[in-house]
Amino acid sequence: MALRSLYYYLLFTSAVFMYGVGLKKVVVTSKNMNHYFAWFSRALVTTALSVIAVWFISNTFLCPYGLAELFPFFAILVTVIIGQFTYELWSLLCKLDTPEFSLTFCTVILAISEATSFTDALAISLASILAFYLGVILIYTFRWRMQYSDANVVFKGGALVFFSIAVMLIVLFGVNISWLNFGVF
Amino acid sequence: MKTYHHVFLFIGSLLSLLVPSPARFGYILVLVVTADILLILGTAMQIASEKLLMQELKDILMLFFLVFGTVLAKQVLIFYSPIIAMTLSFVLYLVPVSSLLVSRTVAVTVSDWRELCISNLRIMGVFTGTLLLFAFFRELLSFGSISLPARFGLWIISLSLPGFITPTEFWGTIPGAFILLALVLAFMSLVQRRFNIIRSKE
Repeated sequence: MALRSLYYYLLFTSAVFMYGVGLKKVVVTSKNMNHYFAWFSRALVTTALSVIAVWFISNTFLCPYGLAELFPFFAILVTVIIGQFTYELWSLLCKLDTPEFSLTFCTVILAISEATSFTDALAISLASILAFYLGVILIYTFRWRMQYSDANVVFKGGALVFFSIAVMLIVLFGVNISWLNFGVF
Repeated sequence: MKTYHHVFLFIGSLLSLLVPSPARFGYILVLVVTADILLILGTAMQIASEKLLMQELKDILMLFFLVFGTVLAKQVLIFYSPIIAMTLSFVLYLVPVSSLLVSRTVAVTVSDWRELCISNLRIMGVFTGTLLLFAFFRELLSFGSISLPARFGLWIISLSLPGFITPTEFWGTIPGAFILLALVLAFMSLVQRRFNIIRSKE
């Protein structure tokens, strides 16, 4: 089940391109690949720790009293505290500034609201972060190839990136309506 | 530089709200109203935090306040139309972390609160107009209709289009949204370049 969620949120309904988690950020971050692994590892650790804490709070203190809808408050509190802790830790270890909040917060909200079990929540959060950083690599590659294209200057930059994402999504989701997919016909 | 910054904020917020939400005007209207209410309340809260000398806690207070507003908005939406609330569910939480709201409420310092209010209202108006116009044409191109939020889902009004326009569901999909956004971005870039040429000649 957890592995299924991992594939699902990583590829078939990418948390970035379908749910919009960090969609703007993926386009911006892809301009520069410096310290990629530092950012990636920090996001992964922060999200995993936040999901563990919020899942525990949600199941112990909120769900038994019918207050599950209030979990975003705890999500923001936990994400800010753990985010600050990992920020300081990464500053010490890697000597880098890695400020980041919205991606982690949205991932925690998505994982807690859509998961059916604890492992599922962890798998969703892991898949979302992986989808984001996979998206960064893909869009970075598009940008790199675009340097050599002779497209009109109006289309260079943002517009061509969006066109590339659209084509990539058509390729990914094309399987859903393909005749080879017997689940449809 | 300022114009580029605003364009970038707009495109960022358009991306985060348009792509994951269904291609119906009614849903976008709900998101826009939520974003507008949050922006107004966020501006008021920001001025209050400055007046109460709580600058050190301002960022975290603002984030809490924006999330509180979203949770409240979702509860009101569940009360009014559970179907819309269920459909938008996660997308609603993208509103408080959208670049426009964060940049105009959390990551801004108040020097003159009147100026901030006017600036935020102006941005809110342009953002609302752009997003609604985009959503209107997207639904028109996709389904040949216009929808409005209703008690049990959406109230869909079919529109008669000129003969040369055939509604194509592709524009309602996520790749369709990206292509439309790319065209809008290219158009804005073209207009900006023309303006720059005119300015340089003057």
